Formats: sequence, structure tokens, C-alpha cells
Amino acid sequence: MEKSFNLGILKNNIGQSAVEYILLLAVISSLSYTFYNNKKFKSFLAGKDGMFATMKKGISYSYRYGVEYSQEVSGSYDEKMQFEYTTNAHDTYVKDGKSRFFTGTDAYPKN
Amino acid sequence: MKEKNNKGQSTIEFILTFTAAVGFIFLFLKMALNYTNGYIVHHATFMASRAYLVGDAEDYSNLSSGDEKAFKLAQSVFSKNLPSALIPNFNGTLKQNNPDSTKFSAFVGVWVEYSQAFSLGFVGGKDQVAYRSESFLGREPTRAESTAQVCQAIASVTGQDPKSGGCSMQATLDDNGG
Repeated sequence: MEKSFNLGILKNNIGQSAVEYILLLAVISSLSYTFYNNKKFKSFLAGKDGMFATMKKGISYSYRYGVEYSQEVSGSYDEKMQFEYTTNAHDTYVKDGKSRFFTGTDAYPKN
Repeated sequence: MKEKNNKGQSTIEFILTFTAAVGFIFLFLKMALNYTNGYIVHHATFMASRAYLVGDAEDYSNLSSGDEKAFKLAQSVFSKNLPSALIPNFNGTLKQNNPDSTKFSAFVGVWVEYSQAFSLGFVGGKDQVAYRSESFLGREPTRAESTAQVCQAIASVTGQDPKSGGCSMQATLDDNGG
């Protein structure tokens, strides 16, 4: 009767690294896939308030106003970015109701 | 039979990491380009604002002609400092906050709003990021406005109507240094 299984294959370590590599690759791939499809991870990266969205907002805001984009600004971000000079509430000009710019307390008389 | 070996392992690992690494490289490259473009636009806006501050017309009779000329000069200075080839597909247009129509004089000057893609690759996305560059140096009184004010001062001394040649008479004025 012929041998159905060659036991000689177990007597060396040929292919060990390949098998380990495949197993490791499978684990890493499945972990990556799980992370990538995770809702929280997706919203952390690309959601409305995700990392990249926050970066974009921060770049736009600090470019316009020259001050750092902070948590307290984030609530009124759209209002800040749509500011069209109808009030004095420009974040470079006024902060907490005070301005670092100054002028005379009374207007200079016209005549 | 083909010999069993581990050739190709590094290639597979390289391909796996290369995509993500290149994505991040392009993200930071594009961000760096955006920052550089931002500095250039800020500089061009500032130079335009300087021109807008002092620009004036030769026409003394029309009070608004000085502002119009100043804005045209500002546009010309902006274009000189920001040639179209410098930032490809630049979509911003210089706008003015005219002293006559701006409620707060602190915001008299020029500004430009434009947008650029956030990233080149798949990392970060290609969404547009809005940028607004502002420079509010104000406006000096034009010669027409100065003429009108001097005329009004002379008329107040002579008692004549400034609109009907009231400042054609010679008068001594005293500057209080204000």
C-alpha cells in the first residue's frame, strides 16, 4: 500500500517563513480592514468634524485672521468665515470685546 | 519546478506601504504649496493695499474718481505681484472696501478670496479650501476731497457759498495742527 502522506515534509523547515508571513499578512489585513471600515475611525479621519476637516477649517481661519483656530472658535466657524465687515467683530480687530487698535475717543471735527 | 524562495516578499511589503507613504507625501507637499501660495497672495494683497491707500486721480472735480483710480491702480499692482503663471488656476479676484460704503473705517482696504485643493492624492481628499487675504491700510483723502475741504474752509471765512465759487477769493487760513 502506498503511503498517503509523505512524513518527510515535516522533517525540514522549508516554507516555514512563507506560512508565517501569510498568517501575519492575513491578521494585519483583517485588522486594517476592520479599522478602515469602522464608523468612528472614518468619522475621525474624514467626517464632518474629522481630522482633515478640522485641518481645513484651521488653515482657512488662521490664514484669514492670523490667529490660531481654537475649540471656542469652532462653534461659530461659519459665522466667522462669512464675516462681511458689517460689524467690528473681526477676530484680528476685536477679541473679547477689546481691540488692540486705538484711536481718538472723539471724532475729529469736520469743520 | 520553480525553486522555493522568499523573493518578492520585499516587493509586496513595498507596494503595501508605498501607497500610503506617497499619499502622505503628496498631502504635505500640497499643503506646503498652499502655504507658499498663501504667502505670495498675502504679499500681493498688501502691495495692492498700499497702492489703494495713496492712489488718486488728476480730476479734482469728481470726488469719487480718486477712489476708482486707486482701485484700478491696486488691481494693477496686485497683478504685477501675482502673475497668472505663479499660481496656476488662481481663482481669486481683488475686491475693495471703499471708505464711502464701509461701515467701519478699520476695514477700508482690499481683499481677495480664492480656493485651492487641500491635497493631491487620496489622503486628505481633493476638497477645496477657501482662503481670504485681507489688507486694510485705509485710504488717504484724495486731492479732490482735500480741495473740497479747503474750499469749504475758505468759504467759511469769506461767507460765500462753496458750491458757487466761494473759495475763489484769497483768504488766510490757520492750521491748528490736528
